[in-house]
Amino acid sequence: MIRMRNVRAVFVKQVWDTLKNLQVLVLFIVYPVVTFVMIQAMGAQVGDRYFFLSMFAVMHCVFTPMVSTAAAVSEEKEKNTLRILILSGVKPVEYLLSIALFIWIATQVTGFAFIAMGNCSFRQGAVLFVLFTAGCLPSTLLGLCIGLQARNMAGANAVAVPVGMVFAFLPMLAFFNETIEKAARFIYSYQIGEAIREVGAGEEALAKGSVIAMVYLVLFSGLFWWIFRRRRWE
Amino acid sequence: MTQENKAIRLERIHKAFGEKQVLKELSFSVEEGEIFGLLGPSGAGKTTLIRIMTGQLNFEGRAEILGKSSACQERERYEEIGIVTDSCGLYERLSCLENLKIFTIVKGVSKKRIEEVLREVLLWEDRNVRVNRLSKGMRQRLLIARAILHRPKLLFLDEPTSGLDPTTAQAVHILLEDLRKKGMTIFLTTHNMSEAQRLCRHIVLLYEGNIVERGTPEEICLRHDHARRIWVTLTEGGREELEYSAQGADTLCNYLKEGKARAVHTSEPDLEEVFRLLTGKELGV
Repeated sequence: MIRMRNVRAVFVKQVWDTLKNLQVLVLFIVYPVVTFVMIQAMGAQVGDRYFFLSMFAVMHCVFTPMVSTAAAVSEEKEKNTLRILILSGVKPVEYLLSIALFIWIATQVTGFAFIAMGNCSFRQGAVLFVLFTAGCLPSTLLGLCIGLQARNMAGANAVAVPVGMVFAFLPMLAFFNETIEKAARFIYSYQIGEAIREVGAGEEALAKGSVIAMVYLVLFSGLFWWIFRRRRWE
Repeated sequence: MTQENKAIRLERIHKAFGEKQVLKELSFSVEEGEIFGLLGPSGAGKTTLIRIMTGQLNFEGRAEILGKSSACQERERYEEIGIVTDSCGLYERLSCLENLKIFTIVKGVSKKRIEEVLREVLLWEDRNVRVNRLSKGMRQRLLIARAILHRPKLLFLDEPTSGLDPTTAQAVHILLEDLRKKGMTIFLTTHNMSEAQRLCRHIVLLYEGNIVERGTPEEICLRHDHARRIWVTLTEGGREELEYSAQGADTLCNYLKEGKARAVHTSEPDLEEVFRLLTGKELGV
């Protein structure tokens, strides 16, 4: 049975720790800031603010959760703080739920900047919110897998950053290269990027992006279960 | 001694990592309300035994902690024990206060308790200092504060004063003695003989996974006093060696009565020497 006070404790810890961890904090604000700068500097030339918005929003909801989750879990393992949480009666499911909840909330809160920059209607904002969630959840799960598998924080970052870059930058590369575009269609981040662009064009794009993200969610859940059974917290 | 007042009861504990046997058929018990010392050099198996007792490792044998099997992973079990080991870290970027606040939520204890424990470990003035700015001694005291936050019945301490300067180590000793007086059972591992002799009511000497000696520190030292001699340093200079006999006792009394004795020493070894006698090795290695 899940004990909510344990979930709250880990969540509170994660909030305090992130606010004092500049490296992780920057991850959450860098893409909204870059989007703002690009729209201000080049928005008029490109003509479509959703061009930049979809590109960087995908990075925000795919790269940031993956890298920050992997960093959080691997640091707790390396510094042995995870062990004392477990020895204090915090169950693995409570810990993982808290971390995922924090990452999701932090991504959504900072993601509001994209909704504001997109001059979205309430409906468009709600669709973007769901799309960010669809990008965030599989990425968080993959980040958990990397964090659990890695022996330390350096090892986790060495895997999470390139993997995150592949998922997050693929939609942008696909824009410039047809071959990459064909392969990228099977990647959830590409579909979410396309869906965000379609929201900008006033089209209903929720279904496709979310369905593909759900497929990845199931795939990464399987991977997570396999790694967790094999490695536990060691 | 009845079974009810045993805080720890270990029977035939055996642990191997692959081919290497780390603990071999260990059996002993710890009474409630005492400070119990597990002594041994690095690699003797002390930390492994703590990990077994706190449910972190599988093992062969039977380990009962506060009347329940150590294999039991129920939350309630963790509410009765506190753990301080090298492998239990602190949140480096957070302050002392924030580190403890997290655990007051987990343990379901009042936030007022934070002030009590921080005052107890003399860290209240430094409550807002980030952990990564604390000295080793302060970190050790913060670990103890976190471990006693929920007033556990049993406290496990793995090398609590390792690497601390004598003054800080003494502060930790006073703190542990205070906790014992409040009724807490303390199980500590150390390779510091004077620490064990000062704090522990009972000790077990561990070497290469085997118990080589057990008892109270005084009993152990007397058991290994094979020479049974008394040396009297005389005020006028020189040193006289006396036997443990009626004649030796008379001579000693006379020296004392006449004020000729400057110092009296007995031949019983200290724990360090006992360990060297039993294993041929130094304890601190």
